[in-house]
Amino acid sequence: MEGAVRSAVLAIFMAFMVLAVLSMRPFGAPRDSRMDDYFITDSQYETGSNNVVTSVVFDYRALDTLGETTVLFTAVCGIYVVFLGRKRR
Amino acid sequence: MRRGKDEGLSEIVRTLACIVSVPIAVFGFYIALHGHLTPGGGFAGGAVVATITSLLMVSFGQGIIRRLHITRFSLLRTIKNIGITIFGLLMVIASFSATFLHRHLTDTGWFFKVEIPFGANPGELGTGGIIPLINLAVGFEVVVGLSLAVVMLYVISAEGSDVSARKAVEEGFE
Amino acid sequence: MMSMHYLAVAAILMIGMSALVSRRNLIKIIMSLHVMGSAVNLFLVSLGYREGSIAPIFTNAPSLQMVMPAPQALTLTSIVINIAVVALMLSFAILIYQHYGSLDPRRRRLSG
Repeated sequence: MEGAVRSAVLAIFMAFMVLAVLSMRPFGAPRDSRMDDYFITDSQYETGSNNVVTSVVFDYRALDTLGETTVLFTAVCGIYVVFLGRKRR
Repeated sequence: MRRGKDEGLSEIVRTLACIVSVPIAVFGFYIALHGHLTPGGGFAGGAVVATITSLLMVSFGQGIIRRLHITRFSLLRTIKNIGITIFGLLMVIASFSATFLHRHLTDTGWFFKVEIPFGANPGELGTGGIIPLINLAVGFEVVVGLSLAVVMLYVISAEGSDVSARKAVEEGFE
Repeated sequence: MMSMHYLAVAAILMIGMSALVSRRNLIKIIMSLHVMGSAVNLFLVSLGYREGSIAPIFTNAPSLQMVMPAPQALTLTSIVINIAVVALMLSFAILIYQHYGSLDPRRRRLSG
């Protein structure tokens, strides 16, 4: 019973995967890339950084990176709470 | 000399781990500092430096807790707080300028003032405005965060194998 | 139009999903979740690829035709969040093992 349910779930998931792969756009040809073209042409003047990915992560989307480091901080705080709340022997 | 279960690997491995950890730290610092010129950045450099913690814990075993006197984990937490606070302060300071982080240090600074034109260039360290500072702050934060995660997972999982080391760590945490 | 990269993403997702629903060990379930996260990272990077382009770094760049940088930045975010989530789940797994003495999620005491 349980194995049949598991096989059915896997089959449905695989069907969704195959449908998604068949309906994707062709690889290597993005439709609309105006934002990325703006990043590539203007990031050297606006941020002074040669690495465009770094200029996006640490300058244009720096608030996002602040939230990302906050996520890491929160995870470590969670591990610390687990350490405090475990059962003493 | 008695080599118990808590003493880790042999003398050769321990000495080589101590020697190798210096180039690893230099390489991670290089990746974090050159984040605006080459692939990498604060996260990658911090992850590289944080492998030193795993290396020392594997080679020294539980003896590292007594050997390095890590009974005050508050030092690591303080460094991590300093990193994330520097990042936040840089964000707040840069938000007051007219455009968001727009070469905040290049117009007024003394180190990051080299302007670069569009196109390929050999790369110079003194560019990038505020980005190297943010890279270093994020690098500190990631180093201490991952090290704390590894150390705490090790301490949690070392339940009951060595009572004295566990007690020393618990006294350090509280 | 079938592409090898999207097929690879689907295959890695299928591997992770099958391990997620068939394993009986919490550590292996966490590993399969991380595998699925890696598939998502590969999908994001392959979305931003443009034909015949180089990585978006101007240091000694041979040409000026570059791939899209924004999906790579989001991939960096995704990697860090994956690491944080996996570390937290591993600590929970250790806590569960110390409390119940087992890592099997189909035990009667763990499943409630």
